[in-house]
Amino acid sequence: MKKTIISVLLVFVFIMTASLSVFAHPLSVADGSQGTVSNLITIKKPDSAATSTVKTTYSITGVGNEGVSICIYTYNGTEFVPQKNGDDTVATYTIGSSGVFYRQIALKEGENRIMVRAEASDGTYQLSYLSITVVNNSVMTDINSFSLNMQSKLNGWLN
Amino acid sequence: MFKEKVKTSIIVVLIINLVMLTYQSWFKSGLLGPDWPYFSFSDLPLVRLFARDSFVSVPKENLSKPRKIVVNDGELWVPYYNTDDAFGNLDDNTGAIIKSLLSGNIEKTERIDYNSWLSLLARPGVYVEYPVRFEPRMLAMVLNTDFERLPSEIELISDAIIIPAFEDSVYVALRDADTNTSYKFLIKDGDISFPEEVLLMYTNKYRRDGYYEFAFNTLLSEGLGEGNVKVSDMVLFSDNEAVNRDIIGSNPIKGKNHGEILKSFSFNPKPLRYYTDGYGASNYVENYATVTIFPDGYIEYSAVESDKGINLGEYGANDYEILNRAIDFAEKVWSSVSNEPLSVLVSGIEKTEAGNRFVLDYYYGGREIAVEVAKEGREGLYHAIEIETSGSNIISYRQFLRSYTAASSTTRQEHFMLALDYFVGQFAYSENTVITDLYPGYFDYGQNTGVLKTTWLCEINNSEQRYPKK
Repeated sequence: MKKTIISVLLVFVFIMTASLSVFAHPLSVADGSQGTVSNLITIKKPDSAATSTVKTTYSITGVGNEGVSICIYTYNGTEFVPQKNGDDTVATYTIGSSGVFYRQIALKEGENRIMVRAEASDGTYQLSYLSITVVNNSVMTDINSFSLNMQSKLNGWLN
Repeated sequence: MFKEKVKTSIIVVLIINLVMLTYQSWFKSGLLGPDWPYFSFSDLPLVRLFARDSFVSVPKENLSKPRKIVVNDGELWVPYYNTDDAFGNLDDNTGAIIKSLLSGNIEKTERIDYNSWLSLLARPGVYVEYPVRFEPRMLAMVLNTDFERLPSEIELISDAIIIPAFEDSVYVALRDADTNTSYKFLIKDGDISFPEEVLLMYTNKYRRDGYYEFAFNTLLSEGLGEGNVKVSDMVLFSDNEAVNRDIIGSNPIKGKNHGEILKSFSFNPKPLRYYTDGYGASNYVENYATVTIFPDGYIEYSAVESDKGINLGEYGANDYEILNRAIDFAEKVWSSVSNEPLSVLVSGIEKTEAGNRFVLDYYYGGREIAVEVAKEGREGLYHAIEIETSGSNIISYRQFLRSYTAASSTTRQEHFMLALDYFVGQFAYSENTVITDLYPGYFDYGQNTGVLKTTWLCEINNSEQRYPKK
């Protein structure tokens, strides 16, 4: 009887521990770390590891198997840290039956080092590194400051 | 003395309490709301008379307005809808360019393939999507301009791309809605000015919420899931999870007699005989037509012969005039049951063997309310109103009568990807399914009146039916 109870308890503890370990994206990843696999996801956009943009919002898209969990990390100068939700929890996204993921990220001017971490339910994970550079756009600065020159140019289109 | 004061105070408190409770039960509990069948201030004849005169026709006013205008600054897209503050100005300026094209200010015409259409869409410019597929001549009438020739392969226009070119000229691309055959036109017109900075202004300064992206730009528009479902290049992806107002639907004929509705169909309600069928519907029959009114608000008019329907005016009117008169008729039917304006937009114009078929959908706060009334005893209705004409006559009129008001509650819109996953799962076993649109709106199953929350609506293979995310 005692053995049965202990066995049941051990099974229970094992199940609980296993479920806790699923999709636990770490709170930091050292630069240069490698994943255990490289076939969980394929990043479609950006279509190369280094790209540039003039906007501070950029979308990252990709394809992968249903159930794979995605987390996007940004480099803070020393390590990669995950994006957070409004309630300070790690922002993760699980690929659904469409087999695709789409996430917009906020960028700062200059180079932004991004890492996409994909993790399968068996604990294997993939790390994909991206570099997205936001270039300065002087026209955008004029627009935002609403300069006189800009006002005369946009005559008729202003709200 | 003290006792008297206490008594007076208690009476004052009781009177205040009485007034507040009366206010609550009359005005807050819905006792005098649209579902209260016995008395309503807005039903008083004088109130109805004045209320009606002050209305503008919502469907006519909005006929020329695009369903959405999407501005691209070269990186990401921002859609503008009719309810956005900046929409009017954008519509005026882009509308002037489309008018200029239709009236013949064309400097150069070039046939382009679909990939070129997509690459134009990726360039800084503006994408204009109309709510219906217009014949070019009809679009010119709707925009109140003259019409010159366009290439004959452009038979139906539902969208256009406008791209800044030189100082007084722009490029406009049109494609045939059925065949995807596309043309690029260089429009030269001294009255047109479209500096590229306009685009940055609309994607940055006037933007209300986040950025969007056409599916083709996400590089995800190939086979999804098991590969059976595709998503059209023109579907807009977004990360927005906006909070939207819930709405309440109510049946405006609940508890009312049918006299006024019958009069709007030129039926004389006095000597008329009717019978109630097994579905609870009241069937009214005259010599050449029948009107059937279901208790849930679904009504149906049907003419026995194509030349015996409801006459919309003299013979020989063009399709645009017929459409306007059909809208007038729908507003007449609506005013027989409600004092509010008919908040519908024309969402489909289709040529039939006999004449035309027009469909209209309810809107609230700029969002579509898709309807599905498919029950025994009636043909399925997937729009607020469906009108079929033959010549200048209406031969069939079907409507799901509903009025919508704001609820006090709100709902946070689910992420776009959850909706996409849901619909890919739903259609995984259908052959050749293409998701041609996916957007937030309301869905009314037509079963009960009550609160409707925003959900994602899916259009597949360009068909009229909308599917809600459940």
